[in-house]
Amino acid sequence: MTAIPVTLISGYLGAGKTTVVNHILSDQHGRRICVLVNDFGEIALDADLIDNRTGDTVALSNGCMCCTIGNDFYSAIDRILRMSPRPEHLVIETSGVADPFKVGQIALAEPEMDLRGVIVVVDAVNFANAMTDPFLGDTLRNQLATAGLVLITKSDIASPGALKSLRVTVATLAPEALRMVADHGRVPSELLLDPLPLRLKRSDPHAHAQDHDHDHGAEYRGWVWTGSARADSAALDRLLGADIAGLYRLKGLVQTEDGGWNAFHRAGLHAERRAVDPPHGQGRAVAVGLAGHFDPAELQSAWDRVLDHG
Amino acid sequence: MADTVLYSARRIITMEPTQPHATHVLVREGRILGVGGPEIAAPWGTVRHDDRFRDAVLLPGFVEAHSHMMTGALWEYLYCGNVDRLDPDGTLWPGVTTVDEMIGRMQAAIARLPAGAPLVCWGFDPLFFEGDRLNRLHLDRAATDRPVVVIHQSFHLMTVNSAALDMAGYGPDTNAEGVPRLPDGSLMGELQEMAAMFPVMRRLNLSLQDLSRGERAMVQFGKAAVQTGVTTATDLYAELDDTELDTLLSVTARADYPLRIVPALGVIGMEPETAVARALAVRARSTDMLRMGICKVMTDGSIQGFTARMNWPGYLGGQPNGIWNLEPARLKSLIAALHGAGLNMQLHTNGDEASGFVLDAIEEAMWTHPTGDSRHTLQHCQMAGEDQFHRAARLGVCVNLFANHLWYYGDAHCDFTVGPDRAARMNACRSALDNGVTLAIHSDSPVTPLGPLHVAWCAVNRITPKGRVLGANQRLSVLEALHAITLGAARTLKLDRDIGSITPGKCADFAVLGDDPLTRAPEDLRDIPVLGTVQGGRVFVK
Repeated sequence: MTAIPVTLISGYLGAGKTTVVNHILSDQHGRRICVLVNDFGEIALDADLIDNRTGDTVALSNGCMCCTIGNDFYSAIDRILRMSPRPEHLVIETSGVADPFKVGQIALAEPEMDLRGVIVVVDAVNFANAMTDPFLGDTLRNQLATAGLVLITKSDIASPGALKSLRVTVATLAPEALRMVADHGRVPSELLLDPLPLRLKRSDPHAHAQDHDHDHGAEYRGWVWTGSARADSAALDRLLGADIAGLYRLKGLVQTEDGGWNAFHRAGLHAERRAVDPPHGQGRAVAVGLAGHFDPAELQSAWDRVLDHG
Repeated sequence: MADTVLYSARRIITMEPTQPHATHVLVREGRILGVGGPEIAAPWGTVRHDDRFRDAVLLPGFVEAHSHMMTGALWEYLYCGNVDRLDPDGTLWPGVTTVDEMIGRMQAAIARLPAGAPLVCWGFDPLFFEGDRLNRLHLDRAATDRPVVVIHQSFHLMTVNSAALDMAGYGPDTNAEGVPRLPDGSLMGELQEMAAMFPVMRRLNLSLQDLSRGERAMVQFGKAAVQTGVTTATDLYAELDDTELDTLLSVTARADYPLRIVPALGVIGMEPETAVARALAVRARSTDMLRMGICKVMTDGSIQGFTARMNWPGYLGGQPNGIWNLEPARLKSLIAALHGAGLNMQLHTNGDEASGFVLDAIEEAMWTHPTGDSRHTLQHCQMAGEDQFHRAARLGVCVNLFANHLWYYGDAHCDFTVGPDRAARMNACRSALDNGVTLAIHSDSPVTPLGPLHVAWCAVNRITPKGRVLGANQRLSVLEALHAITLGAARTLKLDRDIGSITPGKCADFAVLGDDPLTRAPEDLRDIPVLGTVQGGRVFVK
């Protein structure tokens, strides 16, 4: 049996983990994702999205499901691994004080699990304050030191000073992690579930931070489109080869003018498009680019020109 | 007319200041009618004289205020510990201290198993084992055709044979923390902490939680209690779902069931309102033999696992501070809600940052709901200093200290976790009493073996296997230690109206000892034979 890909979502209480989880569960990504959460309490799912609900599991009409940990984390994992069919991806929302380094060990040890990445959510408004909490500061440092991707939430309502100082903190504590601004949790799920650089070999995050006063990480912005409009294949090819400032990655699945379906993918200078079988849902495209260079609005305009509105 | 029995004994140690010692106790309807000399029976009409305890010493039935239901059921697995122990059915299992002895025991057990069936062992403690650290090659000598699993006494580690590693899919590519290797680069077979043990456990359907469930676990727990003089014991993290609760009610109601059980509802993972509602609901179903309503709140991890939350200067080797079980803010609202509902909390706090935090949280909860007698109890509370004991006393908070740790982990604490100075004040029983804190001491069975006399011996002697005395000034007198396993423990559970001492009106619960702990040398306390118990007037002595 192939191993189930696993992504951890970590971050302190109130950072916005649940918003990210809600987004993953309701996003039209076409994957059967299982999200394991501490409790359903804060998960706000549209009633019309819910297929059925039994004690510890909510099944959604898009094929996703949400399970609660209940009394024991390990029994919950075992229950998910025994599901048939097995979910295509497991997302574990850890508690606000969990050490993702420790939680991640389960997915490294269990051969039926394949750890793809650790995402740590921080919010631009409250993080600095949380870091000064004597009971929590070290926990938050440890979480960041494990991150492959740091998601920054609430940047839209944070003061410029707070945002700037958060960037410095993240760059110091997680110098090699990617960063992405994700106000309201809106990041294309594909980007969250993609393999991330794994940082689960932590020896001493404090010593590591001292050695690195420079920032290896980069900050990204995301873009996503979902719809049923058809694309003009020639225009799509032009877009795949076009000069788009700061674009890191663009991929998607769309119906073209002749009614066939095409998957496309662009990473750096490499781009490809090929015919595929029709998917279950709608067309979808996602992109990610370097913050400060990549402009999602500009890509949206370019994409509108690719779509065949005739 | 109810049967009234006058028991005579060599000595009765009552824990009551009015009459600390007696020779006779009068019992009717499961309760104590009188205590004193032979003359006490006179006013009560016809009595039956029972002299079976004339050479024995009676104490109040021991109260184990921190133990777990799993205690008896673990014996379903093969015992491989280093000390001689009786299983609940009375069979003596001599300790094994060498690999050869262990392999011999395993081979005998395997001979009775169906082909291919796994062998699961428990009780092994590498700290007390001679020779090389146990590894898969040793266990391969027991079997190569089936998984062999040795659960360590700490329950945080296991050592397995090659067949078990193969079954779990462990191999050369395994790259997880807690899966160490031998010098030749192959896997050692030791699996450290739950994440590493999980692949083996789930494939063998090995669940320690499930082991604690059901009638047999309860029956075996009761037998283990009788052997150690225990008449009331906690199951200090219980789920108490309806099925389990029905079984508990029916088993503890049996005429021959020898143990009053005090399950603490595990509330971690519950929203505060849910926890309150659930605790009140189960409390309403309590009987004399099944006392419910107390709640178990977890805060941090363990000191030897470096997961306890410690104040500066933290761990000796500079390990990062431990982990919280729940966000501190959530812990505070949980504590406030339970306190506000008048529920008693038993709070797991190992490190001193955790115990200090819990005292903060309780004090805040008391601003809103002042009370003089909540008796919330800090469980383990191993690192608390004078300041915290003083504060606990003023807040009416009790402590249940892990005295057995001084023996089982004392040397490790000196050498690896906190160093000799702070190890000397671990489980500071003297400080607790001198500050006026209600004190219990415990085994956390099965983490260390059930046996209140051993726990008391630790509090009295504070000695380690290497011969160190950890904090001589923190030692208790024998009488103080006996108080902590009887009346002190009963008080932490708010059950001292009914149990904990031998005085008219209380339950006729006695520990029956073969010798007098107040005349034997303090260092012999743990060697005093336990002959059995009397529980609610029913005699459980062979």
